[in-house]
Amino acid sequence: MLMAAPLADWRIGSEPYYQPAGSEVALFEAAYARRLPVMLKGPTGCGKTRLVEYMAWRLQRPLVTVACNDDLSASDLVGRWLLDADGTRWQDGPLALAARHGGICYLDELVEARADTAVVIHPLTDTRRILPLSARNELLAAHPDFCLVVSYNPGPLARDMKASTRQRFCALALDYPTPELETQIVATEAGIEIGMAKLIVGLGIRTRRLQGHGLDEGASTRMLVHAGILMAQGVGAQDACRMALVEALTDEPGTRQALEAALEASF
Amino acid sequence: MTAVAESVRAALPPYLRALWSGQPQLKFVDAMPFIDGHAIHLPVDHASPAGAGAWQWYRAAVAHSAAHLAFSPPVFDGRGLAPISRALLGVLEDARIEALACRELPGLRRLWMPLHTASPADGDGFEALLLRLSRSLLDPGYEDEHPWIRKGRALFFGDDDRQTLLLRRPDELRLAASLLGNDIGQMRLQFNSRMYVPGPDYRDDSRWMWASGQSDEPQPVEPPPSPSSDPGSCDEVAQAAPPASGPLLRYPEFDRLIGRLRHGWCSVSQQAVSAHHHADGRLAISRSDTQAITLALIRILRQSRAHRSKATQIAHEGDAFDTDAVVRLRVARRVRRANDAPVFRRTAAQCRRGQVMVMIDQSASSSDAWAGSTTSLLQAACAITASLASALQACGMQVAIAGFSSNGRHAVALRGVKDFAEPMDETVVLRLAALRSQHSTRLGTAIRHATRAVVDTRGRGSRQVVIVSDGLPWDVDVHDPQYLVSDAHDAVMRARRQGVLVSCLVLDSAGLASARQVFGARRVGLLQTLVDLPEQVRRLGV
Repeated sequence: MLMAAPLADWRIGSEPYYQPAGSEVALFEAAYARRLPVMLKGPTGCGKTRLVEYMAWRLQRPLVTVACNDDLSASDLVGRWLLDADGTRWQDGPLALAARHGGICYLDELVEARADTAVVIHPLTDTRRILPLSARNELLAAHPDFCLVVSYNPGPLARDMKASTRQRFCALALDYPTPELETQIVATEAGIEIGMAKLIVGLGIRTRRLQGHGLDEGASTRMLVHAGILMAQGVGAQDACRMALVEALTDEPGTRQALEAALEASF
Repeated sequence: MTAVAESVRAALPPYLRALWSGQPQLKFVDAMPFIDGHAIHLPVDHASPAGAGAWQWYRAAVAHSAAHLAFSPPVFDGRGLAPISRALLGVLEDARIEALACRELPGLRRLWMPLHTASPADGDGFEALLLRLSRSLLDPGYEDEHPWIRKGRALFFGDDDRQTLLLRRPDELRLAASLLGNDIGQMRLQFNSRMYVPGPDYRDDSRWMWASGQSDEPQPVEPPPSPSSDPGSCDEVAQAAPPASGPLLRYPEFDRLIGRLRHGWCSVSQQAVSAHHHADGRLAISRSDTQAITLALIRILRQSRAHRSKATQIAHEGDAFDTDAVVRLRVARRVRRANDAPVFRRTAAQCRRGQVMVMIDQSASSSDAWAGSTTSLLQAACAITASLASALQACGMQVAIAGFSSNGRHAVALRGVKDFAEPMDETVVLRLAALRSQHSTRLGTAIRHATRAVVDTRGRGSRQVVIVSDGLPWDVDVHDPQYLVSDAHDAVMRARRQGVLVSCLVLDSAGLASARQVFGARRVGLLQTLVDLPEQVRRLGV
C-alpha cells in the first residue's frame, strides 16, 4: 500500500484571496527561490498570515503553521518520543515535519515563544540548513524545498526579538493597506457594497488614530472584514461595527465611549 | 446648570482624535464655545441634562469646532462687511463646514439636527431667520417656505438633493452673505450686533473668523492654572536641591525633538529614608482601614491569572501521562524490573515568583488633597503602597519600594524605603510615613531606575514596576509639556522590551490622560478611594 504524502493535509487546496499592496509577492518569491528565511513584520490583522497562505498556494508547497506562545517548548517544535503497542515511537514536531518533507514552516508571532524555544530554528536558518534532533540522535538535513517563515508584530507592547534570531531573516514590512485597497479587500472578503465597505474602513482608520491614546492597536483589516461579514449576514451597520470593532477593541470606559461616539458619527 | 461630568471630559479628547487626525487642545472655561488658535474652549457648565444629554451636547460642540479647524480658512476678511453680512457669513461658513463634515461622517448630521429647533413659529426677526436658515441648511427634512430662507438655500446648494455645495471659497461665501444681507436691509429688520450670539448654542461664537481688532466679542476669563502646572510655584522649590548621598547614577533621557536618547542626561542620587525622622510614625490611613483592602488584594492576586503558574509534578494520580515517566516504566517492565514509579503529570496552581518595584511620586503636587478628602496624595500613595506590598509579598512576590522626586535633570532623588529582600514590617511603614512632598516628577528617569533595579535582581518569574502618582510628569528645567511624557513613554517601552511590565496607579483624574499616553490605557488604573485598589490591581494584572 502506498503511504500518503506526509504533508498532504497541509496543502492549501484553493487560491486564498490576497490583494497585494506592493511588491511583496515578487520579493517573497525571490527569497523562496534561494530558500532564504523570511520574516513578516506588521501590525495585528494586516494580512501576514494570509500572505503566507497565498504564497504557499502559489509556490505549491505545503504550509505547516505553528502559533507560538509562552508555553511552546522546543520539543513541541522538533518532536518527541511517544509510546505505542510496540514500545516507543518518534513523532516529528511541525518544524521537523516541514524540514524533512519540504514544506514551508510558518512560525506565527515567533517572539511570543520563549527564547530557549526560538533558538532551535537557528541551525535551519543559516547555510547549514540542518535541525539537530538530539532526543533521537539525528541530524536532520532540511529538504531542498523547505523554507522557514516567521511573523512578528513590532507593536508598542511587543517583546524585542533577539538580534541573533532577527539577523537570520530577510524581512518584509507589511502594514494596513491604503484606504482604497482596504475598502476593496473588505468589500471582496465580506461580499458587501463598496460604499458600505468604505464607511467601515473610515471607522477603522479612526480607531487607528487612538493607538497610543487609549488603544494599544487600532482595528485590523481582519476586524473590518468581520464587520463587513456581519453586515452581509443582515446585521445593521452600527451593530456590526459595535460587535466587530468597538466591543472587541477595548473595555476602558472612556475610550469605549469615544469609539461608540465615533461609530455613531460614521454611519 | 450642570458641571461637565468627568467621564465626558475624559472621553472628548479620544473622540476628537478619532474623528479628525489633528488633536486640538480642549479647554473648559466660563464661556460659550469659541475657538482660539488650535484650542477649542467649552463651557464648564452647560444647561443640558446630565448623562446622555450633556455627552450629546459636548460632542456636538467639539465636532462643530473641530470641523472648523479641519475645513475653515484661518481667518476671513471682514473689512467692508456690515454687521448683518458678518453674521450671515458666520452662519454660511458654519453650514459649509458641517456639510463637509457630514460627507465624511454622516452620523454627525443626526448629532447636530436635534439641537436645531428654530421654526416659523419663532417669528421673522433677523436672528430667528438666521436660526431658521441654519436649520434649513443642515436638516434635509426641514421645510421652510420663507422666501429669504429659500433664497439662502438656493445660494448654498446647487441641487434639490442638497449634495452640491455652491459656496466653497471665502469670496463666494462673502458674496452670498452680502446678497442675503441686502435683502435683510430691504426688509428693514433690526439687528443689534453687540447682543448677537450665534446659534444654536453648540456652535462657536465665530470670533476666530475675524482678524484681531475686527471682533467686538469680549475675551473670556480663563481659570488660573493648577498649582501643579504653575512654573512660578516651582521656581521657588527649585532653589532647594536635595542633598545627594550614595553613588550618583546616570540615566539617558529621550528627547522627542531629536527623536533619540540623550545618554547620561539625568543624574540620580540614591538616598536612604530613616524610619526615625517622623515623630508620628503612622500612615495617614490606618492599618485597620487598609487591612480589609489588603486581604481583598491577596484574594484577587491569588485568583489572578498573572499570579498563577503551572507547577508540574509527577504523581500517582493526575490529568495526563508524563511521557518520560511512562517510557521509564515500560523500559523497566520490558527488562522485568519492578517499578511502581508515578507516571501521571499533575499541574498545580501556585503563586508565581517575581519582583515588583513600587515607585511613589513625592513631587510637590503630591501634597494636594486626594479626591476631595483630607488625605494628601502622598499619604494616600503610601497607604496604597503599604497595602499592595503586603499583599504581593503574601503571594510570594519580592517587593521593593522607593520614593522619587526631581529638581532638574541633575538632581533626581530616589529614596529607598524597602529592598527586595526586606520583610514588609513596621520599619518599612515608618519609612513610608517619613516621605515628604517636594520638588518635581521626572517620571522617565524613575521608570528607568526601577526597571534596572528589577532586572538586576536576576530573579525568576514576572518583573513589574508600579508607579503610584498623580500621573503628571513635570520638572523645573523642562518647558515643553510633551517632553517628559514622551520620555516616560520611551522608558516604559524599553522596560517592556526587557520583559518588565510598567503600570501606574493614578491618584488624580487630571493626570489620567497624561498617564495613558505614558503607560498605555490598559496599564493605568485610577484610584479615588482605597476600596478601588483590589479591582484596579486585578485589571492591571499586577
